[in-house]
Amino acid sequence: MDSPKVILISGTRKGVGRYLAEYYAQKGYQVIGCSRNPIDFQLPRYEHFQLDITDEEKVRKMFFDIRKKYHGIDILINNAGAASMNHVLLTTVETVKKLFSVNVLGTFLLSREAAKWMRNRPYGRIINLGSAATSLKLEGEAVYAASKAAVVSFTQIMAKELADFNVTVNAIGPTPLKTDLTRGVSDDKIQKIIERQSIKRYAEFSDISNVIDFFIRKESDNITGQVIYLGGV
Amino acid sequence: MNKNNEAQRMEKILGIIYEMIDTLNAESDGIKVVKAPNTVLLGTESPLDSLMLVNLIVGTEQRIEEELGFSISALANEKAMSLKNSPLRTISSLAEFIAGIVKEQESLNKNTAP
Repeated sequence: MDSPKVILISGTRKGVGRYLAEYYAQKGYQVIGCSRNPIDFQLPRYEHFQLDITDEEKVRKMFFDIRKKYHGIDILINNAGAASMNHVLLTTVETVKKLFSVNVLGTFLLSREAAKWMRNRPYGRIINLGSAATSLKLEGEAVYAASKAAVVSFTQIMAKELADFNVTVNAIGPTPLKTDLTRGVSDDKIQKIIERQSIKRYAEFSDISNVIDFFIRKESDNITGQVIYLGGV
Repeated sequence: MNKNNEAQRMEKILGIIYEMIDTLNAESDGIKVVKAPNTVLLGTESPLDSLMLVNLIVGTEQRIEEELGFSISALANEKAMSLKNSPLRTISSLAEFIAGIVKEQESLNKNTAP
């Protein structure tokens, strides 16, 4: 790597986000993470911002501070997400607002501000987190799957709009992982989902970083608007 | 802020917009954008294509923030994007719109300063 690339990852307090922060810091990237709640870890080449990614002014302030210190960002990973599993007849309006707010509005705000600073540079990558729940059309996940479907559409259209700025936009659709998002789901239900995959196993965090590694390669500048699902979904 | 300072601020904002237009003109093979307050930026009379407009608005926003040293509200807000009487319709209305945002932000910063 010529000079350390700056990578912003949302939702780094735990789970996949924290794994990605550790993974890319260890690979020599300058990692900037953010989360709504405070973190309990420190890493070399890692800086943390505590904010709500659905708050426009706070997001803009974070990007302003990043710009001042690092002169921009090269890669954005929109990892932060919220999930809720319930029958649609028992789903509250508050749940719908929360899922769309974090999954769609949060992704939009970070992407918009990141793309402004990636513009006019030779390299920019935005990676969004979709979900296999969208393509598998899982019962009990109507709202979550719909919010991730919105992320997929957003990814595909933003890819066209940002192509002139040398920014690629892609998404990864993970299958069930052992994280807080699936903690409340019974083993039996997870097993049924896994049975519908071509590759019948839990996804590992490294499956996600593997796909991201492909998207952020310099040579992947002709890959945009794509969604790669794990497990052959 | 007195009238003299406000005039200086407007001049500075216009200067930044013209600087952005210089950059756009240098990159464009087609029609050049005239650096004048009454140049139309939106609609069929505008010499800017959609990509040039995006670059002008975003570039101006970023240069203003660099100049001021603090983050301002996004120029692409609901008011700006409304087609009827959009503040983005000419260079002078854009400059006035930015001056209003800057003034508002300065007053907010003053009130929240420790």
